[in-house]
Amino acid sequence: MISTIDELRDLLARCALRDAKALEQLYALASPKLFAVILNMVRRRDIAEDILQDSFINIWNNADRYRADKSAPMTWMSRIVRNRTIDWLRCQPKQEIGHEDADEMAGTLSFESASDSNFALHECLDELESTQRRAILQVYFRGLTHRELAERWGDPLGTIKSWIRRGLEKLRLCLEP
Amino acid sequence: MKLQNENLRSLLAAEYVMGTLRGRARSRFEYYVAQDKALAGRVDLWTNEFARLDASLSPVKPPRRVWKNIAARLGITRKRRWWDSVGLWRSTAVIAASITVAVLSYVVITPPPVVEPEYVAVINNQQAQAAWLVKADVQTHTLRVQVLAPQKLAADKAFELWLLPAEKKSPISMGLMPASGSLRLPLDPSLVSMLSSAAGVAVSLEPDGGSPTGQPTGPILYQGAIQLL
Repeated sequence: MISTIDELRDLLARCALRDAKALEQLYALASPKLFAVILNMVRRRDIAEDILQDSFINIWNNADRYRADKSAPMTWMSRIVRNRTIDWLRCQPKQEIGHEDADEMAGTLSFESASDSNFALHECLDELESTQRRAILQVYFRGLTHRELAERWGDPLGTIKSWIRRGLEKLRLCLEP
Repeated sequence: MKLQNENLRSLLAAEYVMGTLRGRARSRFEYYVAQDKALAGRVDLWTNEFARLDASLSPVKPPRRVWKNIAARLGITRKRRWWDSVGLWRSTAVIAASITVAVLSYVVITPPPVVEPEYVAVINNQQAQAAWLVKADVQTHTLRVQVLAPQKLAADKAFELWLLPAEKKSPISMGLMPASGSLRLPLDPSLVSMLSSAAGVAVSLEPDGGSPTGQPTGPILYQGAIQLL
């Protein structure tokens, strides 16, 4: 754990009060995690750096809108980062990523999800069929569309869509008993 | 887009969070979320669940230039100076506060009527800038709060002033602070005897209306020492 939730919350509150030093500390604590999120989705360091930069400008400008009762600070920040990255991705014509890369990623993640069962989502993911789980994780971590995943895996678009939808339905039932 | 069906709503929220909802469908969904609290709640729920997955990624430290660019764009770039080290910073803050107190006491005292005991606290922010001046008038049981540097405050938040009693006893609320201008607050007579021995005062960020528990619930943002004038 890089830092406590309280510490990040405190720093965000100080950012809302335009405390530049707090932003610097927040950046030092949170940027490595957020940079990893972006890199996984765009796979290009120069673009990832730009997105991280824009995201922190956004975090600074919107810090007073952070609600501690709604989400953890990292969640709030990663949401900003992911939305920014998705904005960038959707302006791109197409991603070119090899199949072996996709498989390697899915393998790592399913292993980690099995070993770290502290969280409800991890347990629920483990209950899914492996294609459903892999599809959801690929789409989330890589920022892929259904179509991009279909092309990568060589499966029909309809099949990919229904794996993801059925997977999400099961997840929902598992998370909200 | 029909958003009546619960299952569909949840699926769309998940697809939005995952990022598979793109283009116009994404913008349209954001439009619905802005008006539909329950739908926004679904998005929050999926965001929180999915964000847990991020913990499985190994952190990657971005290069220095990213922070430099951020600082430059926000106009907060500054060289690290010798007084940035913590220990020195503390004492500088104390000196700065004492100078402020000295200057203000001079201004206040210049036309001297009868000198009554009065306590003053200058509350500094993290940049050691004086943010508030609090004066406790023991005779009239009044606190006079003056904002020295206007503070940005979200509409549903409040600044609450706390007395930090001696011997690390729990803070005692002295009232809510203005973000700008000045304000008079009643000073609880029971607090008067504690002023001279108190460790200082502090300001915390609280929900609108002040702490619901009677103790600070938000972060302590500002602190200051109490001086006898």
